[in-house]
Amino acid sequence: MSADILWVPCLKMDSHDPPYADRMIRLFLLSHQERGHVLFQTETPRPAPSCSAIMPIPGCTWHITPGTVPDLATLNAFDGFIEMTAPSDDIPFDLVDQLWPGPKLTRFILIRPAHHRLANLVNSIEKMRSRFPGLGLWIDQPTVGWDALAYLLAVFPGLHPVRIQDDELDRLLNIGQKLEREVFLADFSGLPPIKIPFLPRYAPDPARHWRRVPINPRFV
Amino acid sequence: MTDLLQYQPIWPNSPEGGWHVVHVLKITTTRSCWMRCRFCDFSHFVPMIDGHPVPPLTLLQTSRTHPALSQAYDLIKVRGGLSFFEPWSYFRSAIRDIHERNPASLQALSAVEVLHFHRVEQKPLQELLEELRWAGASSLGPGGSELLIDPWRQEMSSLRLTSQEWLGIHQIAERVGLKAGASLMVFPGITERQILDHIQMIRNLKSLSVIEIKPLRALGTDLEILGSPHLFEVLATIQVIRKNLPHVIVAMNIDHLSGDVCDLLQWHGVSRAMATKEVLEP
Repeated sequence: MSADILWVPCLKMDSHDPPYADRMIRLFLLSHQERGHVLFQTETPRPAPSCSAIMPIPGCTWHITPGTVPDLATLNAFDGFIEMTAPSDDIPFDLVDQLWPGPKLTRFILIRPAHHRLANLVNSIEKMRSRFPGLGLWIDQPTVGWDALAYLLAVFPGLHPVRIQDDELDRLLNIGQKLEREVFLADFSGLPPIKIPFLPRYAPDPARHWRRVPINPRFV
Repeated sequence: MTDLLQYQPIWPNSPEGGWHVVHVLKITTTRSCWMRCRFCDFSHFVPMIDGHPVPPLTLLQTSRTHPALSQAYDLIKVRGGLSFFEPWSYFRSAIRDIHERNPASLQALSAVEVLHFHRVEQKPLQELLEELRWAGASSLGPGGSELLIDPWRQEMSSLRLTSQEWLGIHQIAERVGLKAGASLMVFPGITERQILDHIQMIRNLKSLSVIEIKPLRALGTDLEILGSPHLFEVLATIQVIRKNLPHVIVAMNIDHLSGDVCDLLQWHGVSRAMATKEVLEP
């Protein structure tokens, strides 16, 4: 499974009326074959099979953002799972040392600051991998960029991308196809991932299509 | 051997001192061309468009007055489509003027243009190339060497010169003192076999020291449906070239590339980056 690439559709939910939020979540899951992760940015999350919230709420994974890293005591007092987000040039290694290995920290998401060179990003990922083996490492596509993401997925087979929008899935599939690795639709609910078929390859002989045109394009 | 081009991921490995950036002034002779190569957007085929005649070229004027030629460059490239009207002497004069105005190394025309004038003006190839050398050119452009595989060329550019014609012209160019220049066009779906066949052909050039990698820019061409090659195809192509031609410098135009792609190209063995300023016909 480690060589497969996971695509986790993500829905950000702000503060909404519960019926509206429920409807949005329902539609989101329906359109992704019941897979998808919901990130609540509100104190009143709604039920969803795979969800996290940016504040500590029982029953929901705590999504810790770089600006709101609590101290170890607060983290230990929280009765639930944690997913941590950090900039790749300022990883809180000491804090992660306290949490991993352990049951609380479920995944770590790296965000790339604009000035962080690709070589340094590779070093950060390698450092994370060697210092915290087994920790689920995810990488934020919008800040990393597609070129760097393609390279990182090739170099680190255990890495997975996050925040890839639906309309950019074809680019991820293209990377999977080039690396000959399957892409799966997944979330963190425990439901089995669903294999996403690759896009059909382009016609190997595009001239074939031209010959169907009644006028020779050379003389148009 | 599998035909599939497989990218082998490598660890970041910046070469000592990074790559060498070459500042290039690109002078386009004309964007009109009758060859209709499917990968090229210089394809304004008809000399009369809606009753308006194609205006005469301004290359000679550019070569004499354009302010860009007063600036410092490492390399000047003169290339473009194929003109209907202007004779060989027009281009020869323009190249001479450019050489007199700017001391940069001059890569003038390509085997495609040389063969065109050979056919149109019935002049021996060697004579044309000697005149090009006299005019100040130090090398012949890589044009025409996109992929030196004849079935592919027949499909993509049936009016363009054959692989053997391209090679023959470059071998004569070597004899008259012009450095050979080769390129390789990376298009979506390129196979390792195609790259190796191309390499096999350009190995016949004794003075070949640089190969320019050109990812297909399909926008505005017949091949627009194919899109651009994937990053992995470009990197894998470089890997195959580095493996089979380790002594040849791999060069690439970096004008439209992101910082990440530039880093990746360096790690994978591109040691010459070309930053280009283009002078177009008005």
